[in-house]
Amino acid sequence: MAATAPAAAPARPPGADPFRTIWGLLTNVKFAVVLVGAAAFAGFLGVVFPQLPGPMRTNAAARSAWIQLRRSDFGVLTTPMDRLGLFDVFHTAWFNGLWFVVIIAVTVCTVSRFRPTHRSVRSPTRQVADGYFVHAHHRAAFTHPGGVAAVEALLRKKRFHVERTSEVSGATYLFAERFAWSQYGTFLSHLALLLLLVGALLTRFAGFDRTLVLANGTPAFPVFDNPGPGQIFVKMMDAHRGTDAAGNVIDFHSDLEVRRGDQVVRCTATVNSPCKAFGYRVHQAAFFNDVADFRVTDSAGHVVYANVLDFQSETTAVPVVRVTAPDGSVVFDQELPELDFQPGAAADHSEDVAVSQLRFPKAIGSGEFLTYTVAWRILNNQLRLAVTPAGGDPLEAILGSPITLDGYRIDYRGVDNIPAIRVNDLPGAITNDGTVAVQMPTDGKGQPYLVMSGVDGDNLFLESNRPVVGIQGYSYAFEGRLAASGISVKRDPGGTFIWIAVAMAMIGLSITFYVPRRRLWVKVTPDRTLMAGIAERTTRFGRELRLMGAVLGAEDALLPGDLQEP
Amino acid sequence: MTEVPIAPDERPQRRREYSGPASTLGLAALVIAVVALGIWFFQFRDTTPGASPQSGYGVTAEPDGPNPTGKAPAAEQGRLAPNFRLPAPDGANIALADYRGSYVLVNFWASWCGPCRNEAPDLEALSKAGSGHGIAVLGVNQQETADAASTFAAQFELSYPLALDRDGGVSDAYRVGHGLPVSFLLSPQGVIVKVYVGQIPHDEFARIVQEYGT
Repeated sequence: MAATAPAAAPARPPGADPFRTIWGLLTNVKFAVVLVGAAAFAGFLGVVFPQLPGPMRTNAAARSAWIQLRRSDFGVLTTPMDRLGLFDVFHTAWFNGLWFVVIIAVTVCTVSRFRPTHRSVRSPTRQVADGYFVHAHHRAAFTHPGGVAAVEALLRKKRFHVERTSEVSGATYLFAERFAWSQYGTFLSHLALLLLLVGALLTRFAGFDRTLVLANGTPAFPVFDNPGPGQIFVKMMDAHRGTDAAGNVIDFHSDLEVRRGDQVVRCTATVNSPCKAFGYRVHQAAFFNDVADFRVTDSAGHVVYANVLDFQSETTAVPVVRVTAPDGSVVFDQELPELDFQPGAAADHSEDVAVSQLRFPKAIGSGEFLTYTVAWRILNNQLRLAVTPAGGDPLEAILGSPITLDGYRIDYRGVDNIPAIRVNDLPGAITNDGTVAVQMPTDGKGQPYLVMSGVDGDNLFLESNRPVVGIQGYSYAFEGRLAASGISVKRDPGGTFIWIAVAMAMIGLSITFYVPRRRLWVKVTPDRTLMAGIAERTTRFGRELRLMGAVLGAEDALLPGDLQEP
Repeated sequence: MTEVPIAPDERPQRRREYSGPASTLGLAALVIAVVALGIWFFQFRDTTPGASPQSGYGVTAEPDGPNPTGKAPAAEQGRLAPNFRLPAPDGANIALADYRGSYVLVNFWASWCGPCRNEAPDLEALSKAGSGHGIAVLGVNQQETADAASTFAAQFELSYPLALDRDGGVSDAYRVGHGLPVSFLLSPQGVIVKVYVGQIPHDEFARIVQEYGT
């Protein structure tokens, strides 16, 4: 029997085909390592250096201002770094180009694997030279009764596909194979990697993600920056926070109306169960209850301001105080909003003092009130409180340690963070900078109200639907606290690809590592049976062959240690 | 007996094989082309308008008459303003050309836009103050429903006309995006004399009457 070398010779000499040269580069392991290393390094640069905020990217003036601010950190290097795109790494042509080459390389590698794999599965080498039975890494030789029929029967029992390939000079050659298809496992894993990159590309270039904050009863809000026939509007019908009997939050959901032109989709979105409309998924992303419905009318009764007041999660820390009358009845129990502020000299604001008034009836239902001045400051992350009676000295109130004034017990019960924000351009503002400070504490019954500073000589206290007139004649009305939801509008065409890719990768790797592929060549002569084969992921295939010999009744098959389990 | 290899290929699935540009690089190029097609498909496929454009509405031809700029209409200071015809919430027709002969402040707005809400009382005041001085105000609502526009008008007691740009075509022609409000002050010849991006400062309204009023 003559023998030849196994590998397929190149059809043309290397270098004659420029595509082959490119192919050689793209499938070169060292080049792949360089590519992956470069991509990782570029990603590292994008993490280490400050990156231009997304909304500034299309605004030349904002971009220029942002770059100017970087000069304080990077000095003369700022301009060259900017030209290299180091402040916007993930959107530079070189970064995208790098990933484009990675994708091409992965594609070429994956495609290049298919043909040899498929050929190996569909048209395996069914016959080997006799020398292979002598030199193969996994091999066995033994003498047993039953001849070729016994060998075939045993292999079929072990789920091998067996075929006789030839009979020469009294020797019968068999080819046996089990789980040949598992060779596709590696190809599947590579294909998964490619699909993963495809999914990432689709997400990067065709995905969309925007979060809108929508309050109950406010107008429908547009999703896209630019107007056009495809514009989608989302209107909040009901932002809802569900609670159980104990007051624990159990779910958030939003009833929405999604409109595109004349088409309307009404649906409910939760965090895990999105609403689907016009090819987009609409999720509940957050819940807020720090939005106030607010209206200002002029002296003639015309509405001059009607808008929601979104506190945007800005808060201020205020004390919660309970006052117990001498008869044991609780006459005050609520948050104390900040009514005045005296900035201190310390840079860490530890000397800043906030001032409020503790005003409560002498008894429940009494028309007579007592008023104490309450002041606090934040020291070492703790709110330190002092209560001063009229004409008296301040007494420090310690958290959990009541003090007594005029027979009334005053408990400093804790600290609440209440919504607080400064509003620009509010009609009737009398401050120098035109801003008005607004807080939204809750009263003793848990009802929210507004405290406004800057539209009158005194603070204005606005209870729900009870307008108050400021010094300029404007009437300010708090029309209630609104619930609002953060609504995420998404389209991720790459998502499906990524899920499929992950599944394919898991299946491919499982096949590669756990499916026991075996490929076996057998030469059976009247005197001796020779076995040699291929088995990935095991170095003990030779032992398996010898154990088969033992099962066939051979006494010379086993080697010392073969019967010991691994 | 036929010639047989001395040893089989032990790891064919790990081997890469070049079989010509068509079946290796070509196939890779095909994969990339499919990805590009996928991106195009997802990015541009779903542009079906939600509302079919109403015939006769949108940007229209300029009315007969002299063009003092000598250039094509464009949403820029010193250029002739693109002419348009849009429906009002009550179904009436509003054409920009009808305002030729007086100054008009074309205000692009939406009820979801906070600054637009803040600006509305000032626009109403300008409308009233300017009516006897050859200055008009025309509101162009960006893609909201007639109900939304009517509710807004009732809330702020607006008396100036409001036009509905339902498909965003006029906003697009005026290059007005999400950043509302945007206003264009047009001369009696239809030329844009000033562009206001964002809420017009309160004091500017008095200046408009003073400078352009008759």
